[in-house]
Amino acid sequence: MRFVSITADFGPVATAICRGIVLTIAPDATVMDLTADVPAFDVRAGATGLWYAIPYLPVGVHVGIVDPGVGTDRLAVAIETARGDILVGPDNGLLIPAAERAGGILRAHALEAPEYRLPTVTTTFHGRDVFAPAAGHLAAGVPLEAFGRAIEPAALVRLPEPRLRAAEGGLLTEVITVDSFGNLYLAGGPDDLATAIGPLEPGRGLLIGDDAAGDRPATWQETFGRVAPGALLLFEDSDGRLCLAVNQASAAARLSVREGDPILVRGA
Amino acid sequence: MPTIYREPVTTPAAIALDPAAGRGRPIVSITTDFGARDPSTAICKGVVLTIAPQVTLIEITSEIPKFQVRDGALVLWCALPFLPVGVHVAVVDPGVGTERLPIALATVRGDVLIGPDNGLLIPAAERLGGIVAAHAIEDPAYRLSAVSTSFHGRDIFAPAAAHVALGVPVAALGRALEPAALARLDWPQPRVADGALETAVVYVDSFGNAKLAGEPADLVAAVGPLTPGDLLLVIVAGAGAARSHEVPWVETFGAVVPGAPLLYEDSYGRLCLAANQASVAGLLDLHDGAHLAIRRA
Repeated sequence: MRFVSITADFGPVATAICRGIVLTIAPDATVMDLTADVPAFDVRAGATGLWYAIPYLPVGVHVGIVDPGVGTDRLAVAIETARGDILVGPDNGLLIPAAERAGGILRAHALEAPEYRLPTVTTTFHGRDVFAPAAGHLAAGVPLEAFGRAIEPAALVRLPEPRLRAAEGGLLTEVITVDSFGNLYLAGGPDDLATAIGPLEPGRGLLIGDDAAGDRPATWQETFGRVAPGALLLFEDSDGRLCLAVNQASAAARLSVREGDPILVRGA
Repeated sequence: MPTIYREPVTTPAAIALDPAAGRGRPIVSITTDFGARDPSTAICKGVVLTIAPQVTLIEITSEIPKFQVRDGALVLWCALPFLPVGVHVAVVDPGVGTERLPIALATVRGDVLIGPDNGLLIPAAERLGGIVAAHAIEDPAYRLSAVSTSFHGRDIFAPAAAHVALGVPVAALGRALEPAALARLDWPQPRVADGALETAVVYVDSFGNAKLAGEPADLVAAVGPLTPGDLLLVIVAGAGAARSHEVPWVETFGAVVPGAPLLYEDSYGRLCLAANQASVAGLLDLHDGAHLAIRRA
């Protein structure tokens, strides 16, 4: 397993340091940054990024570091997926959605063995001192069970489930993540919406309700360019989720919403 | 934390398997203030890979605040000990095209640092055991055929790095320079005074954590032995009245409630102010160069 990806919230320098440690231990590894710019401390945004990316990455070792609990009693873990990946990071829910998307969790181990950590483990940079060394050794072929005791998959920390239910004649969902275009990725898929409001045909009129203002008209469409520039559309994103966007503009700015805010979608 | 790194940093298991772990592969790292939007860093990478296709590149960052040589020097000081031994190019070079020299420094650890002679490389070179040789980069054989006045990262530093990574000795690049004659930065120093440590913010990272001049030993010299939970006063000098904040000395972020400030030894062995899941720079209105004093509450 020569492929190592890194997803972190600590910017390029700390990420490059982790890459340096991986390459010191596993000089043949291909190391790729998924991003160093997960919003700081935002575990769910990191989990969402990993969920989106993992199907398209080679089977490998994927390190996730969004770790506000670093140096406390939260565990450091490595999780093997049915697809054959090993996900490495803090036990705070960050890795679970991606593990499930990669076929589910086969087994998990704590990262405890000192021989696979840097000689000095600080209280505030486990990416460098614990996770990157583990990733290097996993890439070099050390078996998962060598790192520490087995952890029951059901005992791993999970993030709270987002809102997703039929309500007020529509589908109540929430913003899972906002991308750099200002597109709003929502909990649930087209099936959830069709169950709540009936069949979805391109061009169907919708009403988007949020806390900031009343209902706004939108269109169910296949892609951005099917509506006028500046118009709001709801579409199935490239991974099968509901996504709210404005053609050539930012839906986040238009609706003044952010991650975690509720969105009610109804038929027009 | 060690203060000097004469060997690569790795795990006991990696050393047991290969005593030369962290050595022997051609590694080139690159650190610049060019920014992610402009293609300049990628252009430097392209020049390296054209000359030395077998090199593994590590981009440390393109986001050093523009022209801030000291910020670049601190990033290199933090990062280089944790990279494999290699060639490290750094370009924060407001004097490009003037008479400032392009230089290559060989370190005790075995790295070669390449960049402008403006102080950028010196703290990292000292952290990697010190300078064993310094040379000007002058030989036209190891520069691009046209050298511009404003992009030596591409025309001089990247080609030199690639050639050194391929095995060209540093001495072949140009005449030897006296290490003591190299340009050095004016670096803020902590001062122990009357039960307080006078220090300054030397770097604000992407979380808003503020790295300070000095180490925990300096603070202990000022206020006596520190135990996690000890309450300190951080007094920030400003245009108006000095502002004073109670901040605990703790081991990590999660030891205080979200939003609260803390003072700790960072993962590089420096004094650092932070706030749990927030920006202490925003919370306490701190910026690079801000002067502050720390005493017991």
